[in-house]
Amino acid sequence: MKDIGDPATGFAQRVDAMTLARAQSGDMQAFAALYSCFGRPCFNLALRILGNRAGAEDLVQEVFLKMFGAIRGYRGDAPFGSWLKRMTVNAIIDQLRAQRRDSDVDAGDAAAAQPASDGDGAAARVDAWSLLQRLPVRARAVLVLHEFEGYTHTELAALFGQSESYSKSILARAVKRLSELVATPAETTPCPNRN
Amino acid sequence: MSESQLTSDGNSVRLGELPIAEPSPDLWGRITHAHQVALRRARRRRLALWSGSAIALVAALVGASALRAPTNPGGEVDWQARAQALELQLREAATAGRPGALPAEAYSELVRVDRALQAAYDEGAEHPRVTALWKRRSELLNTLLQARRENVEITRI
Repeated sequence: MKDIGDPATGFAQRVDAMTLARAQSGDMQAFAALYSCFGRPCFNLALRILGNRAGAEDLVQEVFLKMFGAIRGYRGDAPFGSWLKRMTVNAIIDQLRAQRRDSDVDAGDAAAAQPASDGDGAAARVDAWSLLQRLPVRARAVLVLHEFEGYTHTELAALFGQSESYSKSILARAVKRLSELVATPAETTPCPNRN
Repeated sequence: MSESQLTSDGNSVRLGELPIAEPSPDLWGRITHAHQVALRRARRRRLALWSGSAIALVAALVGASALRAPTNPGGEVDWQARAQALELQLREAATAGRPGALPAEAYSELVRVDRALQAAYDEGAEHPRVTALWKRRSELLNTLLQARRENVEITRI
């Protein structure tokens, strides 16, 4: 995975060795510090792919609970943020696998039924959130992970247990779909993410 | 995050900035609560495992010691002690495995032997009669124990 140092998702934040050591010994205050750094990045990544707050919060909970147990095995080979991001992505993909049938069919139908955008035309800057939510969930996952989180097609192929051409094909179809949606005037979908 | 230009297979689209969302303020509280619940469950599971192991170990030791010393000081087999040890093992086997059908004949005879033993003690019967009943009781319990063990082995397959 290339390090794109994305300030929006925030997984690139550094964690000091003392906090890590305390967390590895089970110190809840250290875990709280890790959550204050990475809770939001983890939530935003899940929200962008899953598309709903409740599902994203459940996923953050699952990832942090898993992290409480797994952190003792963290050896520092990769930055902590990358390690946690990997756990988050794995949890998201596990969830997509579990709901594969529903998500692919339903989201695809929803996308076809709701052409989108804010009506400024193909060349215009458009509401990224609204567009993403009109993609089938797998396409959204590939697009978010590739375009916003810096995953390569090789890494995506491994994550999804598919070939690279699968990942490339999903991405190509997603971009085609987005360009069609941009060209078609329609309503926008409000982002469900602000408290 | 700034806007993104996506290009693939001749298609191109420029996306605006993705909004940054905040998780619910109580999410961390929910996570720590779930963590505490998980810890308590794990503790209970460990405790149950240790308790079960300790009970099984004590029962095995009692059974083994009773079976190792089935004779009284005179060299005669202590059928009463043996029967009691076998009964403990039978109970242990019953809790360890699924309840299954026991040989009905042996079980019925065991009930008859128990009644006869009670009658013998009530009548103040001689030692040989009581010993013979305890011996028979041991044999029947042994039969039931074998049947129970075979049943457990079968259900594990």
